Amino acid sequence: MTLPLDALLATMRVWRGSVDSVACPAVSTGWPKLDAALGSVGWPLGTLIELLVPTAGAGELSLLLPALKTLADAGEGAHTRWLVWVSPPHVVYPPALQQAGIAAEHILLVDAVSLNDRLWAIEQSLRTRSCLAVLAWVDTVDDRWLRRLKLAAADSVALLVLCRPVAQQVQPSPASVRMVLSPTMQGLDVHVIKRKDRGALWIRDALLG
Amino acid sequence: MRKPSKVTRQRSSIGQTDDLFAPQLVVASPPMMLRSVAAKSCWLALNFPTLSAVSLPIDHAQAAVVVAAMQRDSAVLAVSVLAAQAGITVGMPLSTAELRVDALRVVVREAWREQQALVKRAEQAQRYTSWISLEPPTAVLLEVQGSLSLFGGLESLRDQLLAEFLAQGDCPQWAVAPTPKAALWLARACPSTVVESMDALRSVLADMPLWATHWPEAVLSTCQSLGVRTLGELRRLPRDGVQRRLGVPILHDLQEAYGERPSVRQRWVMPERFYARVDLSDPTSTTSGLLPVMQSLLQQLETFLEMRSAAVSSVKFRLAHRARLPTVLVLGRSLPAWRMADWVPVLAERVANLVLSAPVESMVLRSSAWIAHRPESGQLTAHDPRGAALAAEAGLFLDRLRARLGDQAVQGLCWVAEHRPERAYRSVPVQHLLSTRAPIVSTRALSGLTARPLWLLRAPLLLMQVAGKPCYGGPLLLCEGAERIESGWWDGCGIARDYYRAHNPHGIRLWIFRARVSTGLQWFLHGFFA
Repeated sequence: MTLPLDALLATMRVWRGSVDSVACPAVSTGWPKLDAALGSVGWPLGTLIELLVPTAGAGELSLLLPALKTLADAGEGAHTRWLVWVSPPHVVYPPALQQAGIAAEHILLVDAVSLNDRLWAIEQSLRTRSCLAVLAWVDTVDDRWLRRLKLAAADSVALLVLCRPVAQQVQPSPASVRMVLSPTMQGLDVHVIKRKDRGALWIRDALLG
Repeated sequence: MRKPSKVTRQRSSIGQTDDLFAPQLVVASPPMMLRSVAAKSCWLALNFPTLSAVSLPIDHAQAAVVVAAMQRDSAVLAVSVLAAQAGITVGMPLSTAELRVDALRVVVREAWREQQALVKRAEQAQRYTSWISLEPPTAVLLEVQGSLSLFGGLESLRDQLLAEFLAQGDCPQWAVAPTPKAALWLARACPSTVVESMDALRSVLADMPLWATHWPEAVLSTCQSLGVRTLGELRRLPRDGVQRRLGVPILHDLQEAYGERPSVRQRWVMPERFYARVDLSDPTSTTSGLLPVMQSLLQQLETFLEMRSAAVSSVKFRLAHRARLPTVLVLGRSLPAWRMADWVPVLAERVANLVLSAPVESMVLRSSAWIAHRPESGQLTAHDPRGAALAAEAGLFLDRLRARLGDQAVQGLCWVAEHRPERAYRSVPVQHLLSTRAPIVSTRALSGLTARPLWLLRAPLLLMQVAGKPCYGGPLLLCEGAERIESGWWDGCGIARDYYRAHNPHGIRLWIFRARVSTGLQWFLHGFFA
């Protein structure tokens, strides 16, 4: 039997001393090393995640794909089913997504030119219950906007990922998880520069078992 | 026993007149429907004598009159309350009226407004019967025989109908008679009369003054010169004499009123599209000034659609400026909507970003053709109330994005079975995101495909070559290939390319191809295995 109290704790609205014991809504990253680094649960939902990439195509999508597939499978046939892509740098290629097991009908592309429109679109997407994940590409963002997005995310259970240039690493950010991606000839190194309750961590070949 | 014989007699008279005056009936436009008075019918006429004034934006707190034209001798058609207190009456010449009040506001009657107001009243009356006929400029005729039992009798129906009009400030003159013409004349000459039998109708019509017929002035003056003042007196004249002196149409009118000839009336059919216009008394270009007016138009639309159990998917506002091209604002919804509240969020988004070249003087709202729509019944019977709510929320979300970013900025994607990489996908317009599911892709079509990049460049990028090797942030290392894609020779966009997977020194994985161009073989970047 589910008690109202359980529901309350599950949504993280109540702060508890022993944070680890609280089941925080999360989705597995699909990469064991990364899951281990993120409190063995995976990407936290309903909060802000920042990926800092040297250039578009550095491996940011491969990193997210397993989690997106998990979310999409859960949203299959349901009304909540969109993976929102806000101003992606290139065409999200449906055949590749299909190969990864994500049906193209989950894709919702939002092309906003100005930064304000992008942020507004992200916020709107987080406010509706129709979105499973919001992936957005932005450059310089005001700290206040980031806080605002984090707040909007807190009211939802969507996965919110901002992809920003690696130069933004020096800017302070309220994001719960921040990672710098460095592609290598062997794979992808991930430098977790911020995560919940733990220090920074360097993961070599994050996408290898 | 008397009734059947009367019916046969009327039928035979129809037979006679049909031969004689057949062209008269043909002149009538095709959609006209014949309604024989032989069938028992009950017509309720509603005459709105003040329609010309009501339809105009007259302020009753100031002295104002309505005239047909701005001429000194034109008669006053309607007066405001204050003007009436000053002694101005309907029918008074404008010059006389101007003598009574110093600062008299003179408004010229506008035919389209009256037409719109009349149609609006016909729409309201539609709740009571489906058979409505307009009698411009000010009257509406309803055939209510079929609705009597539903509304609990004539009196109850009439009371409900009148209460509705009185509540909105109309004071219609009404009358009930077995023939439409008689009902109309009664409404004008002796309102609030109910005539149910043909015998009673004959005696009532006998005393009817001729002006109630609104016949042409020449006909009325001829009658006057003959010493005829009432319909009864006219009827006593020989029929062929009436036909010769006054014309065939007058004779027909008379026969229709007495039920001796079938009435040919055009049935009023509801318009398929909504149209409403409003003039702003105080031209404005501010959001706070425009929004309430737009909302009131949408409220009218809601009433219009509710009566039809219908919904529309888009509406168009046309904002007219003085001496400028009008601003057009089209709002679309992914799910058909009918409530004002459904439009307001989308509207607010658009109006906030609206740049107007000049103040708005008048506004027109049009809808797309409506479609039948049955609103969700309550939670007791709905199959999936939560799903419906979510679908509505998703629709609103999409519409809000569209309203602010434009239709092209929001779309879905789908996979297309096509070998050419740049044609293997297609964008899905936002309208189809909710209504239909994208076609399920057969996995067989994908099984033969080698790995495709997650990012595809919108157009292939020509790569520099150093010592014959392609470069992108350094010389590229080919690691998989080649996959030859040669297709499309039939539509003029043929390609012949060898695709490779490649690495650059920074570890970025690329999808590149080699193709023959005019200058020889060239390398292009087409995607990232991000």
